[in-house]
Amino acid sequence: VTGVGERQRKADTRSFESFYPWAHEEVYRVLVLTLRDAELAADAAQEALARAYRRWDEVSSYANPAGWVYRVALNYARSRFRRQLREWLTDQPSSPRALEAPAPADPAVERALAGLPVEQRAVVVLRLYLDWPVEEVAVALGIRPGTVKSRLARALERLRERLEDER
Amino acid sequence: MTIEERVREALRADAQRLELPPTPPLERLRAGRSRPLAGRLVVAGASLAGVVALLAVVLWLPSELSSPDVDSIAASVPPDPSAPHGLSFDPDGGEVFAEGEAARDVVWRAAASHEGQLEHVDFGRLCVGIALEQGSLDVGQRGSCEAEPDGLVIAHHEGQGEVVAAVGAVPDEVLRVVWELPDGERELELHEQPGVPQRLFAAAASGIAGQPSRVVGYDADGHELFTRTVPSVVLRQAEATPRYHLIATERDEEHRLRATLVVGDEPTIDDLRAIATTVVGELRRQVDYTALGVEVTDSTRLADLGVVYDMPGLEQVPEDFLPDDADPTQAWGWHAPFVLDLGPGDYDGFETLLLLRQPHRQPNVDRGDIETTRGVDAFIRQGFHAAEQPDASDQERIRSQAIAQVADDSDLSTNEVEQRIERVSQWQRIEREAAFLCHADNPHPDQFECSPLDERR
Repeated sequence: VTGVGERQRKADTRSFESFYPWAHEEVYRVLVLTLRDAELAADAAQEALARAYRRWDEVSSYANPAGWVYRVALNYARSRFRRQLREWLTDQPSSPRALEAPAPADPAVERALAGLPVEQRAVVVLRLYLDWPVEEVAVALGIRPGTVKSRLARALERLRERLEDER
Repeated sequence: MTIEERVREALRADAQRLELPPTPPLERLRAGRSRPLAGRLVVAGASLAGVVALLAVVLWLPSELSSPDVDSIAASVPPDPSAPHGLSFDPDGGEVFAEGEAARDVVWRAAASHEGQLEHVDFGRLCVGIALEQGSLDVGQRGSCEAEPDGLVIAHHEGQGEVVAAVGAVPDEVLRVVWELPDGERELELHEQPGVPQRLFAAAASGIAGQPSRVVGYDADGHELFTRTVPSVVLRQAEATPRYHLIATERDEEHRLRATLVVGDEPTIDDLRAIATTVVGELRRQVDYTALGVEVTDSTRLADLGVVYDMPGLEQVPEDFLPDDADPTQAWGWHAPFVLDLGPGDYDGFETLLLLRQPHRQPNVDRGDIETTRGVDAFIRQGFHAAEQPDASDQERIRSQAIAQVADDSDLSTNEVEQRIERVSQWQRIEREAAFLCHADNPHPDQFECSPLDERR
């Protein structure tokens, strides 16, 4: 499968209405891969898109609006996570319609990815799944290109070690 | 197949097989709401700043603030008239011990003496940032930082004598730093911290027990770009005990007040201090501090109350709620009477959730209570998911089954499980009663507006 990044770049950003359905699906996928929590990913994607909608004039002028949405969603997830302990303690289960991910295609890779810090996993997903260039990943994550490279290298090294350990 | 290819293939296969949630109607976004919020402790507007790297800061405050703690703390520190802000500095020996805000001065001095061009280095954040990347490592609180005249600053982990971080000036191109140890090399994490001058680097590695002889930086192509020889004086384990560590060791854990700050990219430590000051003022206006035995005046700043910076190491989103080795009753200041959780509220603002604990009313929740409740909650979620649209009787049945399952798994009676859940629920109910949500627009932290959390729900 190729061309995910290409699909991203072909997002129709002429209006939010045309951007929204596509972005909701794509950003959700990327967030699930990054956060490994479908419920949180759905929340974060929708929250980020709501924010994108409110400032669409500005966001649509960016080179990569989806990158902005992703970044906002990731930050949202982080903020949510800080409070997740308390949320978890709510009297009622938070969602009877929690989304369930199917069994992973490559369980060993899945376990190895799960062992990465989210910062590294984000770089892996954006670079390898979306095929975004280093510079675009850097903008989306708010870090420097050099950091993208070093995080990716470190992540791949860890993945390699873990996959070799599983043999 | 290369590792990249294998990972790419797995990610794409998983992505294609994901069950996609229904796209909510656009009208919901227009109404300013994303997902339904029922049943959640939702913080309005919670989320994002223009940063990915959140820095977490935990403020430890001496308990019983109405007693002369601050004075007694000061008295416990060896007098050093030349030490600003608790800084212990030996110009002859080249050793510096500092923490929190004072550490900023250390790095400024060290870096400036080396490069002569660094105007402002916020080492408090830097240390915290290092710790954040390292998970549960808390350099800022239980470590000490020592600066060398050449700009290299070494952080020790208190108690274990480990060298856990190094800070120094290096070229931008340095991507990899190797710590040369007697028994081999160890690659250090290389981090870039928001707000830190470009040529400053922070390298950290946990678990280094040996004495490194050199720190070497390489570029992406493996070229050696810089070398720092680490003098032995830096490697000696800190002999002086950091000022605030005394508090932690001399007091029972539960007798401390703890506040948590999570800050984004834009605010400096000075901003945070201003914010914290405002928040304290706001709390004073809204909360009966006297009942808590806390004396606060208009000029009270958190720093005045004996604040040091630390991090909770809880930003490992979202592998689990907590790192495996973290004790949630400590990591989240579970027993702390006062929690200040300051985070990014929006791209252009900050929000803070203030939890004013009432320990005299709250049950003593321990880790077992928490884990039991979490277990039950997980089973309930599974049950709800399987039932799709559970009605009231389904919910009760699922709950009973979940409790029975956890009881069976943990060798507890169902009654004991119920009691644990009740303690946690009661703890949370009381906590919510004194929760405030505040928001301020950057860059005007003095305009913080707070209101009880329950009014926002």
